[in-house]
Amino acid sequence: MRISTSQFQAVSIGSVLQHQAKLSKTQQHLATGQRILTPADDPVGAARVLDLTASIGELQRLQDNAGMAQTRLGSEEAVLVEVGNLLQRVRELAVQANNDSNSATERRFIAAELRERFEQLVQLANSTDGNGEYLFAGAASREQPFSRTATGVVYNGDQNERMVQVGPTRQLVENHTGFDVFMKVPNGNGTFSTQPAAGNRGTGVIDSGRVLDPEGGAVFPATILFRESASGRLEYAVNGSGDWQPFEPGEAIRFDGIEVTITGVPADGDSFVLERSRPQSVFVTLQNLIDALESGGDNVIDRARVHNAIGRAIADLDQAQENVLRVRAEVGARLYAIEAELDTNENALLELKSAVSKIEDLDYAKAVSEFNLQLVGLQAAQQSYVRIQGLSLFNLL
Amino acid sequence: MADLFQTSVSGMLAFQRALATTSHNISNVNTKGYSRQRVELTTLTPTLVGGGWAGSGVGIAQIRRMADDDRNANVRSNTAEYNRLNTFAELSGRIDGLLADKNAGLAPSLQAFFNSVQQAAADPTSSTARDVMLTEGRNLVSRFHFLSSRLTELEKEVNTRLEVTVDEVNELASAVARLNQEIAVALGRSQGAPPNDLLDKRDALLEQLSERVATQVVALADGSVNVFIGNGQPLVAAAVSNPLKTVASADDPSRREIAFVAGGSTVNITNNITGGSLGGLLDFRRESLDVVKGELDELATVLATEFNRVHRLGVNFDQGTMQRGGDFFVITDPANAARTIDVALTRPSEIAWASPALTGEWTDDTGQSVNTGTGKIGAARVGADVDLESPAAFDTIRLVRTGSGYRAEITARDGSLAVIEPVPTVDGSLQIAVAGGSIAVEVTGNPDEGDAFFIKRNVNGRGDNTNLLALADLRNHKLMEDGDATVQEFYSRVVGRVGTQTLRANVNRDAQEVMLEQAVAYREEVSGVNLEEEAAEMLRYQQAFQASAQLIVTANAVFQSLLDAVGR
Repeated sequence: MRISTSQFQAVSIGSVLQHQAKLSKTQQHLATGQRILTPADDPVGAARVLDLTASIGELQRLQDNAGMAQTRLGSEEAVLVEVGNLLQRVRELAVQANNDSNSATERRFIAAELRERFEQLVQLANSTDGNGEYLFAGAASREQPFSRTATGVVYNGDQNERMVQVGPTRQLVENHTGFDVFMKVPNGNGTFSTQPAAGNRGTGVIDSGRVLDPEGGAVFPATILFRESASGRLEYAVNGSGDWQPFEPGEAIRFDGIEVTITGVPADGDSFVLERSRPQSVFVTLQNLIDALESGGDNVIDRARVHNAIGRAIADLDQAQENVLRVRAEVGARLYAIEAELDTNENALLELKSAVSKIEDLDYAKAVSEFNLQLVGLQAAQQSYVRIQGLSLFNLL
Repeated sequence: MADLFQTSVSGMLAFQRALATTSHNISNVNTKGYSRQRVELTTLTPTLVGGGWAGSGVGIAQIRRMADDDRNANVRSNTAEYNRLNTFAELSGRIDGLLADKNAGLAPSLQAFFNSVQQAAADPTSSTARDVMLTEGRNLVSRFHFLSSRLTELEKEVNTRLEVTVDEVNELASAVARLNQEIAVALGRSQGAPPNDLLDKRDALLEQLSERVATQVVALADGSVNVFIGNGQPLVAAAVSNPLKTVASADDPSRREIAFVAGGSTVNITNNITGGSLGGLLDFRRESLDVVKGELDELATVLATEFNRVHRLGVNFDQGTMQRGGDFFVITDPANAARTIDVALTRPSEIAWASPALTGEWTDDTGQSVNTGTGKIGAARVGADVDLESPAAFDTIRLVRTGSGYRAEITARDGSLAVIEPVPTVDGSLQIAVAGGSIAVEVTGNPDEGDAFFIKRNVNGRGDNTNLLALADLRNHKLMEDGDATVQEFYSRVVGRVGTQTLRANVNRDAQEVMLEQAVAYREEVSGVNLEEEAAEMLRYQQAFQASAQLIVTANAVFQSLLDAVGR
């Protein structure tokens, strides 16, 4: 094939330029350490990197969220521990006050300490986190949830729990409302509560009772009425049934799948009422206890009344403690879930980052060897150009 | 004897011409578009002598231009295609770099924005976090503006280049027309001997023309050519050239299009133009620029619409009172969404982060529940058009469990009471009609008869983050492409597609470059000057010339000897 001189020149200089361009591109890759300089270098990879980077950013944000939730749940946990300790102390005092060795005066001393505890409990319920947000106010977190009134404590917060996003598809509740922790605690044994009728004249003291068979068909309110039979025997009947049974103090009275025990000696006409358990705030429970300790004298009937009231308060306290334990267990479960989520996110982050690096990062070994190859190519092109340019027939004429 | 002189002189003259042509070739070795020339020799008419027809020397038949029209046409069409692809690849690469740039692209600010929403959701009472959200929102729209303005700049550049290129095409076309005329005249004067250098010049012009637009060249009998572009518009008809001009687009006055002017009428031929840098510019605008611009607008529109829709579902406590959220983003010109999107809010407290209504168990004065059952009420879903402001708007709804279902006692803000029966829906929630719209809630568990729940106007629930969570969740919603892609995925797809387009343009350009080189090599095979060859030619003609000159000496000697013989 014929070849023209100018084309021959153009082709040989063109190949030098081409080598140079390739070399410059590889040099850019080497200098930046990036395999993709513009999306055109690898369109699929570039789009993938954008998606992956977005996921990484989101996960990092979620990790921060999880950290914040951890802090909040940690604050809540600390307060709940305090509340638990307080309730424990109150229960000890109640048990102590229940002892017959205490006179009415001594009971009032105990009541005085309970009043302190009461104030402390209100303070705990009004705890704030580091940002000045009330822990137990629900969504109204900028307003003090519990306030004292003449009659007791009022809850001003709401029942909204806050969700926080801690994983790409995972939202967690990160708080409990005061309603949940302090207010809506069932009283009695959780199913029913017991109390003596107002005009009881005997020394009968009823315990908080138990449920033996939830399907037993118990209907509340239920009444246990006492009478003295013609023979002078103490008998009781349930719900006005007329089915009189002999009464033995301390022996369980069972009916409709439930059981209560009455100790002491009720008088003729005394009665005890079993009511369906209702929500009762921890504050009401404490106030009831204080009221019971501050009332009555030292005669047996007053004592029986106080025993009944304290017994009821202890049952309510047990419910309150159980409720705090439940909430703490939930907090623990959430903290555990966050921990797990943090781990999962961390692993996902590692994986995503390595995926990005796989797409984006330059394989230096490969790039350097390519660079060297291109360098040799350029040198060859340059040298051959110079050598060939020297050749011309005219030189020989 | 005279014959001998004449014959050798004819040789000397012919070889001199041949040497001159060789010299012409050598001189033009670097002239673009030059086609090498060859002197074609022929024997002169023989004369009849006693013994028969005696040769009378050599003459020049033709100075032939070594060119092949097919090869030239091949170079032209490849040039047009190469320039189209080159222009496309160059401009496409600019968009490519713009969109995916780690700092200039949209992806980082989209991500930062949604992260800031998520952060605000995690700390709903913090106005700092909401301030950050507002700032990130502004960053996002300014990124939209930036990208949009860069695309507009590119569009302006396309406009300018179209104008410049059209001017160049017009100049080249009129130059071709002039040369057509000159060539026709020269051919007439030389009675058919081709004006080689003029032809070369015209071919060079035609090649330059095809760098700008794909042409079809048709040769005429008088040596001139017609040049057609588009679908048959005669850019050059013999000695006449018809100009192109740029006109404003009917759809968008800021956009230039190409029209063909002939005989006083102007025809828009934008869609018929192919090849060359003109074709590349138009292709780029149509296939890349317009598409990306449209996608960016779509992204801005969907993002603003959806974000606003959710934002309006929530409430803020701006200036102390609860009120429904307004639009977060505003788009003033829907046709240019990316350029005109803006953040409508001015203060962080205007961000609607909470739900308009809070729910819970009905409580007495001390905040204690009155319920005995295990029923629980879920969050209220308050419709976007539910009235929150007027006196007739709901204030408190008491939802009471009755023997057969539920009863809703709705107290309005003006204190009036309405009792209605909520409508159970298929998803298990209860629909409660209130002023302006309806509220949906769900009750789970087993409420006892008489148990009650409340749905209250959210007057102080500043710690509620329901709406921010919903806003943050938009990131994961497949809002684009008929529910097939999230906004982030959509943007990635745009980047990927532009990258692919650029890559394809580059690959095609490189392939076309090879094609063009081959076409040029193919032409040069015939037309190119090779100095070695010319050196050989030079030697050949030099020797022939010297031989002819020697013949004169010989003739002289012969003649002298004759004179000597006679003169004695």
